[in-house]
Amino acid sequence: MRKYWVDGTFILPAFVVFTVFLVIPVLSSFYYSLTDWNGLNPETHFVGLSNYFKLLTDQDVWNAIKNTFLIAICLTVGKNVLGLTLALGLQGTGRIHRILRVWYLIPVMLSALAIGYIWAYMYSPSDGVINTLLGMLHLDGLARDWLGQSDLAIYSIIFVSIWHFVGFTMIIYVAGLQSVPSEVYEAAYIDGAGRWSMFKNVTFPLIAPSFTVNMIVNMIVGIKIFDTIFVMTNGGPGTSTENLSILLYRQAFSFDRMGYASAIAVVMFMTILILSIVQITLLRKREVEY
Amino acid sequence: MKPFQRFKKTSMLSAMAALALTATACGGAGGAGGKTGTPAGKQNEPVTLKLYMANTSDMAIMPEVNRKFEEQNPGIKIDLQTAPVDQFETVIKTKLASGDAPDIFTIYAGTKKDSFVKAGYLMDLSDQPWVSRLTDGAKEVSSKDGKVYGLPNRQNVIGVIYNKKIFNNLGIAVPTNWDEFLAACQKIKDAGITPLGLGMKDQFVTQLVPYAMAPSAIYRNQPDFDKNMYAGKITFTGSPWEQMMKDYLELNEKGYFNKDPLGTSNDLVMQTMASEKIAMTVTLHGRIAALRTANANLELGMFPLPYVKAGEKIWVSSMPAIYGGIYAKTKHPAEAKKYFEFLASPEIAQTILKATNSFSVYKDVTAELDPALKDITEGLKVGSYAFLDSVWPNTVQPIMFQQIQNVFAGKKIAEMLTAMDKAFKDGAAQQ
Repeated sequence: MRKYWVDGTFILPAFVVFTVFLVIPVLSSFYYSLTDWNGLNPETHFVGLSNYFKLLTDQDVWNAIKNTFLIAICLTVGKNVLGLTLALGLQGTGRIHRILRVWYLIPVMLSALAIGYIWAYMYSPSDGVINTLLGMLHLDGLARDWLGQSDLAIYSIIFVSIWHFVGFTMIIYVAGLQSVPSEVYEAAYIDGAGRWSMFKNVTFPLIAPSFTVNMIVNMIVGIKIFDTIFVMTNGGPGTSTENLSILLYRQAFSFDRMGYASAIAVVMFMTILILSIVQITLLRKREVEY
Repeated sequence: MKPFQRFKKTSMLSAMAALALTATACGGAGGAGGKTGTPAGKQNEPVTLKLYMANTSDMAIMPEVNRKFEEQNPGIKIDLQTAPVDQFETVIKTKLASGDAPDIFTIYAGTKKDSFVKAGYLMDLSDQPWVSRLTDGAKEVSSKDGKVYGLPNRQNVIGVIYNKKIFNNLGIAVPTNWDEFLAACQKIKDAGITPLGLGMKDQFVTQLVPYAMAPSAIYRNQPDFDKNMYAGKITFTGSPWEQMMKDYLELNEKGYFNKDPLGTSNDLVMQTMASEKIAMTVTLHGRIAALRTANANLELGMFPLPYVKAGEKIWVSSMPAIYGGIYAKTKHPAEAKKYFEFLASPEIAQTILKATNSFSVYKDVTAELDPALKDITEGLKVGSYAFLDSVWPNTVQPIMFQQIQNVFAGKKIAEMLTAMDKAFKDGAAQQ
C-alpha cells in the first residue's frame, strides 16, 4: 500500500499540470462547441448540436477533411518508407554511419516555422534556389510555381514536412533494428535466407514495435500539422492547402466563431482517437514476442 | 503477456491520448475570466499604463513619444508591449477573455472593432476634447452608433507607387484613365521591364488592386452600395465587381504582372521594385519609406489607380488608422485619457505623421509629406472611400483573399462573388 503513495507522490506534479493545462481546456472545448461563443464576448448562448449540423453541410470542412487525409496519408507512408530505408542503410556502427544518422536528425531539431520560412524562400518562383538550380541544369521545363499552383502546393508542403521529420522516424527504426539479437540473423543466414527474405521474414516482423510507434505518431502529427502550412501558404492558394487545423484557426480567429471552431476541434479529436485505437489494435496483433 | 508488456501498452495508449488531446486544447481558451478587484492604491506611487499594441508602422516612433509623455507627466509610466500584426488579434482576444486586459490596446478602424465594442471592452471617448478636431472620415471609422471608441492617428492611402526614372526614360506620362494605364503597361513590358509587381503569396496583397478600383468603379456613383448590401437589396454578383475582377485578371493574362504572382511574396516584389526591375506596384503609401530604405537613389512617385474612362473623376481608396482604444474597466481611466490627449496634441500628432509619412486625421494639423506623395494628395481632394473591409462584416475579407487566389488559379469569377455574397450574409447575421 505504501508503495502506491510513493508512486502517487511522484506522479502528482505532472498530473496536476496535465489536468490544469490540458484536461480542463479540452473539456471546456467540448462545452464551447455547444455554444455560439465568438471568442470575445463574455455572454454565450447554448445552441445544442447546431454547430455539428452546420459542419456536415460546410463545403470548407469537407475540403479541409480531404486535404487533412491526403496530407496525413502521404506523410505516414512517405516518412515510414524513407525512414526505414535510411535506417537499414545506416544501422551500422561505423563513423560514417554515425555522422549520417546525426545529419538526418538535424532538421528534426529545427523549428517548423524556421523550416517553413526557409523552404518558402527556396520554392519562390523567380529567385528561389530550386528553380534557379533547375535553370542551371537546363531543366527550365521542370521549374514550377511550387507554392502558387493549387494542384501542386499541397505536395510541396508534404515534401517539406517529410524532409523535416524523417530523421525522427529513422532513429526509432534504428533503435528497433539494434534491439534485434544477432543470433536470429545468424540462424536465418545458416538456413540460407537471402537478403529480401531475411528482411521480410526476420527483420520486419521483429521491428514491429517501432513500426507501430512510427505509424501512429506520424498519422497523428500528419492530421494535426499546422505550423508548416501556416507559414508556407496559410492554406492558400485559395483553400487548396487548408486542412482542419488551419480551418479551425481561421474560424476561431478570422471569423470569430470560437464555438464552431471548438466543434471542428472536437471532430478532429474524435477522428484521431478512433484512428489511433484502430491502428493500435491492428498493429499490436502482428507484434511478435521473442 | 509479461507485466512489462502491459505497461508498454498502457503508456502507449496514454501517449496517444495526450497527442490527440493537444489538438483540442488549442480550441477553447478560458471563458469570461474573473476580474481582479481594485487594490487599495497608495498615494504618490507612479501609475503604470499597460499598452499592448500591434506592431504597425507607427510603433517605431512610439517609444520616443512615450518618453516625452513621461517627462511631462512624472506620475505616469508607460509600459509598451508590441506583438506582430498577424498574431496580435489572437492574443488580445485571449487576454480580454481571460481578464488579463491591458489599459490601452490596438483596435482596427471600421467594423473590425465592433465586436470589441459589443462585448463591452472599450471605453466611450465621445466626450474627449480631441474628438471635435477629427476629420469626418477619421471620426466615422472610430465610431459605432455615434460614439467614439478609438483615437485615430494617421491616414493611409492605396495607389500606384511608380518608378519615375523608368517613366521618364520611356516617355510615359502619369496615366489618367484605364486605357492610358494599359498602354503604359504595354510600353513598359515592350521595354523588357515588369510593369506591375504583385506578390499574392501574402494574402493581404490580393485585395489591393480591387480596393484601389472600387472607389471609382462603385462608390463614386453608388455611395449607398454597402448600405444596400446590408439591406440585402444588392449582391456582389451582378455588381461592378464582375468587371473589376475581369480587368484585374486581364492585367495578368496580358503579362503585366510579374510571373507567378501566386507564389511570389510581397517582400520579393518590394526588393525587385527597389532594384528598378519593376516599374509600378499597387499598394499602401507607407511602402515608399521601405523602398527608399532599400535603395536611396529611387525616384518614386504615387498616383491614384485610374480605373475610369477618359474624362471621369478618379476616386482614391483611403483609410484613417486608429492608434488604440482604452479598456472599459481600466483602473486608471484619467491617466489613460490624459495620454490620449497628449498624443492628439498638434505637436505630437505632427511628430507621428512625420515618422509614419502619412496623412493627417485632424482638421488643424497638416502633414509635411514626402514629395513622392504630391500626385496622390491632389487625388485625395477629388474623392475617396474607405478600405472596403472596414465597412463589411469581418467574415468577408478572409473569404475574399482566398477567392481572389482561386480566380488567379483558374476558378470562375462567378464562384468568387457567390462565396463573398454568402460570407457577407453570414457575417451580417452574426453582427
